[in-house]
Amino acid sequence: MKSFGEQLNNAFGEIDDRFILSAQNPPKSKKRILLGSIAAALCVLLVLIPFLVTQGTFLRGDGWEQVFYEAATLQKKKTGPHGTLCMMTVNLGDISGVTEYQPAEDVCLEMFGQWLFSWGSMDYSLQFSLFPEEHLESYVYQEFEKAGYTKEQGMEKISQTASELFPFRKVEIQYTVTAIKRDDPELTRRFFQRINLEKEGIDPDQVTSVLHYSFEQVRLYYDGLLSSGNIFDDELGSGVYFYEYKGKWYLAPNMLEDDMSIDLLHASKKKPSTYYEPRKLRGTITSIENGYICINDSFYFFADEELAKGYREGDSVSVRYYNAVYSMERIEDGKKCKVARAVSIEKKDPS
Amino acid sequence: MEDEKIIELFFQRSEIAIPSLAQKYEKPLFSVSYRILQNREDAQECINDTYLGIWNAIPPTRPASLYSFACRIARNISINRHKHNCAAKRNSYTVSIEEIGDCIPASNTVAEDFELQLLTDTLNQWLESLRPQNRYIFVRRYWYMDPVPQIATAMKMSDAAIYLRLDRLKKKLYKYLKERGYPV
Repeated sequence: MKSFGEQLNNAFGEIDDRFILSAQNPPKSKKRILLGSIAAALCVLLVLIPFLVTQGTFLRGDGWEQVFYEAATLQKKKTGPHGTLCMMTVNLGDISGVTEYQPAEDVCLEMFGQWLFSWGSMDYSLQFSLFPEEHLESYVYQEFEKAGYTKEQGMEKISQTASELFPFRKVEIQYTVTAIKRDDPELTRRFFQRINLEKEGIDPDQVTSVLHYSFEQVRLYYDGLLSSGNIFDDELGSGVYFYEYKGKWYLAPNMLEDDMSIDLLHASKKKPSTYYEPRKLRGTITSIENGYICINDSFYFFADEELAKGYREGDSVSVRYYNAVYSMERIEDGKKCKVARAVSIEKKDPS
Repeated sequence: MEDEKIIELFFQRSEIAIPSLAQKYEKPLFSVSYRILQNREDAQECINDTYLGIWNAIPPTRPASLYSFACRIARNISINRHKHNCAAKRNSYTVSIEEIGDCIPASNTVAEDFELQLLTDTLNQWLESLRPQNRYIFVRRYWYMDPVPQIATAMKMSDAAIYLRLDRLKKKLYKYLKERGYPV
């Protein structure tokens, strides 16, 4: 008689064609974002700009500070929990079809920026304020409790782990809004159809409005040196929903990152932990710049001043690093490379 | 050549049906087979058997997706060959079957009689509930038998993130099956 594991494997072999076909190519999350000039887009800008002029700053939500806006470009910045600076540039082109601007649209731009910042810096504690407490109870707080943390302690643990493993100093976000639709009948229907709000702990009867944003050319840059395609824009391919619930705007529940955030919650130096597992790489220093030491022109290591002291290009070294390796590409030439946090560096005899 | 035209060649019993299929899909078919068997000669034999299997199946079958139809046949033939070979060493297939079986703890109380279709339907529903990137990772690992570093490269994620994601997905699958009354 077959074991259940083998029965499961046999059943898995017979899954629907659509899953086999869709797995031929990775979802758009790996889609790369090309540097480009400001794209013409369709949006609410013509209405938005006068509002910006008359209202001055439209700071809202989680501490975004407006840097500038001119023509079709809006830039804001904020500082993360561990000093990471986030610069967000939103391209809003000539967009028609919207006759009335409302403050919700601006709030949602900042929320999307916050969400991207959380992904870019791997500090998922930044995203929790974008979802209702009821939803977080279902997915996140239970995990905190199991791990022995209060809500605040859990968020701090996630943030602290991210800052140890992925200590980016500056994350730059760029994206273009191509359309904004409020309470569009078809999109609203799809929202309620796609997302089982009740399962997420949310009462659908208390949803009073639905906004849908379409984005393109979403890109993240790190410390002026590297860029990342790892922003999981599979949801972005069909746009992003925001909804007004009990008088406040939130990101659609399917945008919550509840996998890696919980992994960071559990990661520990004191017990066997995949992310903190030490690894070693031997090679030649090919560059030291922007707070990174590059080995063999392909592996960038975060290294603070103290760690990098005394080393220079051409040195043969052995680097111990945490097993939290991030795939990126170099801005300068698009070369694919890896990034990790160096724990220690030791000079080696080239022979 | 479009899939519909290739299928039509099979219906016409054309001598170029199999070469047309091979030209388009031999690489992914070989890849599926090789990951299970870890032997080029055995994999090639299975691919040849796959073409014969498709020739015998079409007609009367007219698959909605020729790609997945062919991959499925290749996978099943390769798994049967693997069992026949009684492979002792751990390869992608044995590792993946052990891993996916790991989500179900060994128990003397596990029921032994499940209808394959019922279980497959349940798996389809579970896969539908996943986010696209998680579904991709899970299907690539346990259907396509991709090694983790390959998935990590395709997803631009770290190896560690993929391992942990797979672990969490297996736990979610275990919980999903348990909630639906599977005796695990």
